[in-house]
Amino acid sequence: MIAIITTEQKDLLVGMKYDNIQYFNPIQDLNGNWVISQEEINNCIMVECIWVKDLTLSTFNPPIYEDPFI
Amino acid sequence: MISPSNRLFSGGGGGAFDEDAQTFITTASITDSTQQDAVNQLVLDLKSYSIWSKLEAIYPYVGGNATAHSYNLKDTTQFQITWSGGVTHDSNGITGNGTNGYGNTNLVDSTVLSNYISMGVYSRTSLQDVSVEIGASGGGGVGNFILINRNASGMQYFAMDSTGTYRSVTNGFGLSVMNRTTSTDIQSYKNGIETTATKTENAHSTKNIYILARNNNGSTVDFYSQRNLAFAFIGNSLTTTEHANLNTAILDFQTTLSRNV
Repeated sequence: MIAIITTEQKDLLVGMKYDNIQYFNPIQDLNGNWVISQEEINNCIMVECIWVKDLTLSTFNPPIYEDPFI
Repeated sequence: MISPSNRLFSGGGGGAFDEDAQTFITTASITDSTQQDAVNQLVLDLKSYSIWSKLEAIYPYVGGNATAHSYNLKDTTQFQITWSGGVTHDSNGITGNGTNGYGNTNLVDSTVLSNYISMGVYSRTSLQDVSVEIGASGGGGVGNFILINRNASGMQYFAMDSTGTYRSVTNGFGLSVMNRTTSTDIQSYKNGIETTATKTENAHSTKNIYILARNNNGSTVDFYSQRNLAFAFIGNSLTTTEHANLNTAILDFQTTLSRNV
């Protein structure tokens, strides 16, 4: 599960730790939406990012990678 | 005579720990006596097998939290992992979410390794998917990385090349390793069992090696893994015997921690 965030929210979270050691890693889904993971939300303990706990969870639509390994 | 690297120090339980083990135990705040003993025995085994000096990064993923799992047993002052995204840390090690979780070892093999590379992970998960457990690549996919159970063809590994090599595996459990010994000779090891192949050397990766994903030329992170890893290492090329001994040491370590698969 993930939560969709705005570009402005993404900019706030980039470079920010959510639990004193682990960093947020916003990525884009198949439709170009910025998302963060349920694990980041659940483990967020920092005041600066506590607002992520109000985000709505949804199913992740992963981007389609070109498989370079074939 | 005991060499400086093998000096023993008193442990919290009244025993004596190897100096390097003690440094890791202290730095990573490992308080559980079983975990302390497991780490100590792992260090002693790797030194007795003459493997210790050939490895640059050893991540035992013991301690059950992100901080403890970030430290390099070989040298706690170097190549500490930076965690990003959704990675779960518990007594079984680290587990990716397959979406955005990974660790940056901050190790660039082109600047660290004196010769050819050896690299591997111990997985407690077996599933088929296209995800990278450890590695980095440069432009065109040249690099070092492992897909431990890519598809029905098995494990795929890249050892300083751009096309990769398959080996058949029955599952993804246990220790999966890639190794290069010469400009043309590469090997894979699955739970210590070797297969060999010929693949011309291209180049060392010049990018930081990631765990639970691929560092794609320093510009993107992709192929996130959802596997549970209980060990990872990066080092110089090892011999067939050393790989067998490494597998023994890691399996003993996992067994002591009751997380062997």
